[in-house]
Amino acid sequence: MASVRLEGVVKRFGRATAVNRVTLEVGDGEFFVLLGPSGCGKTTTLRLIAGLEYPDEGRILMDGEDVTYKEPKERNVAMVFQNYALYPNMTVYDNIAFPLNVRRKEIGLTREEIREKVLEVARMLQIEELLDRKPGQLSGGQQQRVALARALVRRPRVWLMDEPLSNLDALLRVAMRAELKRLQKELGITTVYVTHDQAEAMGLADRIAVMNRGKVVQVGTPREVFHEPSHIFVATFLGSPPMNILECTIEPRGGGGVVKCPGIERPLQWSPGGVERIYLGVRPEFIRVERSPGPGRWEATVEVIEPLGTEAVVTLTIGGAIVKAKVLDEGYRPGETVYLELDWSRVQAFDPETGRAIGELARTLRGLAG
Amino acid sequence: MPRPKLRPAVVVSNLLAWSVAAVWLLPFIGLFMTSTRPFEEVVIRGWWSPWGNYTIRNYIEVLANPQYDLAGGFRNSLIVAIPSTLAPLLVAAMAAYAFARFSFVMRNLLFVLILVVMAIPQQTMVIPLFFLLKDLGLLDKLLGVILIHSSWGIAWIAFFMRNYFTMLPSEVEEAARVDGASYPTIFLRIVLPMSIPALAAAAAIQFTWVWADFFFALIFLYSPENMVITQKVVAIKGQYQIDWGLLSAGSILAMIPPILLYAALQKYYLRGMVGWATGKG
Repeated sequence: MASVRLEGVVKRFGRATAVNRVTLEVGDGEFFVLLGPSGCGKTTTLRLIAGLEYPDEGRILMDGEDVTYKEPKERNVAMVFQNYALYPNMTVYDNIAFPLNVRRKEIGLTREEIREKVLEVARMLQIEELLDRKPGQLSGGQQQRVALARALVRRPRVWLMDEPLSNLDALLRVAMRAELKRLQKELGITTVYVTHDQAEAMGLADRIAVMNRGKVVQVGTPREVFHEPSHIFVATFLGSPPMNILECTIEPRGGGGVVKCPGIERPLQWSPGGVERIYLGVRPEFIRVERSPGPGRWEATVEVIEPLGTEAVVTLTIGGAIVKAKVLDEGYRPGETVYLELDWSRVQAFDPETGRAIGELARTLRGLAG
Repeated sequence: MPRPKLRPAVVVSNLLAWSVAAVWLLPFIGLFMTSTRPFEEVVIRGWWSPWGNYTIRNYIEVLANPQYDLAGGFRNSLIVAIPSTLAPLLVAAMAAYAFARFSFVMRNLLFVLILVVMAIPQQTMVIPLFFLLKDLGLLDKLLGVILIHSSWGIAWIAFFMRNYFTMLPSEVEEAARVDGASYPTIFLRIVLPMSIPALAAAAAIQFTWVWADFFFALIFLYSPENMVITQKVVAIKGQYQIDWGLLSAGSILAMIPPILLYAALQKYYLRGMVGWATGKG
């Protein structure tokens, strides 16, 4: 068990900067997820922690000990790879025993003790009956379990996982996700987990670091990054479908002001100094679609309906802008005129120049709710 | 069940493949026919006369007559070919791994040098090699020929194995590094076992190459007791007359060890060659 700390870590490959001044703190026993689109530097960050790459700048600490330039084997970390990376020439038993066998003398284990440890993790992951097989004879899910067992067998300080579930089919993935979380909590191993799948990140993480272009954009609990995105990138990366972003202006009007969005207008009890451009963010879940007009409802046209079972994602045009709403599937038809109601208590505001969230403005906008 | 339709493309490609195979096999068939015919029939009717008499007398004669000493030739050839296959395989595999996985000063230059060695015709090197062996006291010694074949083999095997290693998934080796394995452990316990197809292919080719060599043997081995099988077969030819049946029988016998090796390694050999050629090891 250990805490991991990255301080201003930079990694370049030729001219490209894969990881750019990343500073992170992963607590003891925490399930920490690095989330981002492909090429955002999350896997490189993980490889830096593993010691498979060395940073160009910055430091990496484990339990306060500087491990920046230490070999992987000196760090006592274990890693699960996306394609499992099992040793194809060895049986499942030998695969799991490998991390113990290679340093048997160092840690002073007898063959019998190794055998006990292998059997223990094999029982834990329910792969006892596979121990004599070769990896080529296993299904994807079984290979996954073997890879996890191999990473568990020597009780590493840190568990590193690089999209370990992405090669499994959808049902198995969800099942393994739950099991992984249970295992991690039971054993209390500090875990750094890389994924591009936001549902996986939300489901597994104690905390998530959302990365983009080599930088950490936001670190927070799943709830925080979902409901309080600090940057427009986080808002539009998380959620299915992601947050709607409307180009709006805030203008003074009378004693107060008004926020003008495509097809929507709301008075404000606060007067801005001049005309200000903002991006207004609202999640599809917080838009209601009604069939009758009313106060606080705005006319829109249904374009596309994607049924999801009981719910549906409805794509609408409002004042020339496109908005998605996630609502109960009530048989909307393309071309139908409907009326939108925004949950103003949930809106976000972003600076159009920097993309950063403007918390104060968002609170002002929400203050009018109800 | 309906019979699958014969498509013209399949028929043509099959015909083509079988024709090439037939042309390729023709000399061997001729050799085999000649080796199984009595001397008179070969002389009078030539090699293609399937309805004549068959005999194994040529084989018995060529093996039993001490004058030809094929057994000695076999022994010498094995003494040369086995170490000349294993030694360069081990050395070249290690070099190839370094070329494939590590970056070091002058890596590309060294690799180009390997390609250059592969491009040099053996004949151009024979005079310096002769004097080198002479100075080392290894002329007319099997060890001398073993060293030459081994060093010649290292170049192409290193090239061949490097290409194979670069195709192996690096994650497996990275997993081993994280698991605490040292580079020698990774090489011996992970990489080499994963490379058996390529190693088998290289072994089969190198063994055949060394076994079939006549040129180096002719120049560097001249005492009858040191001669290898290719030299012994040529010696079956008499000074005044050629018994084609005996010569063919000796040739067929000399082919057996490499053919056996190919047969034994065939499973791996095909995978190694296909993987090497298509990049799907």
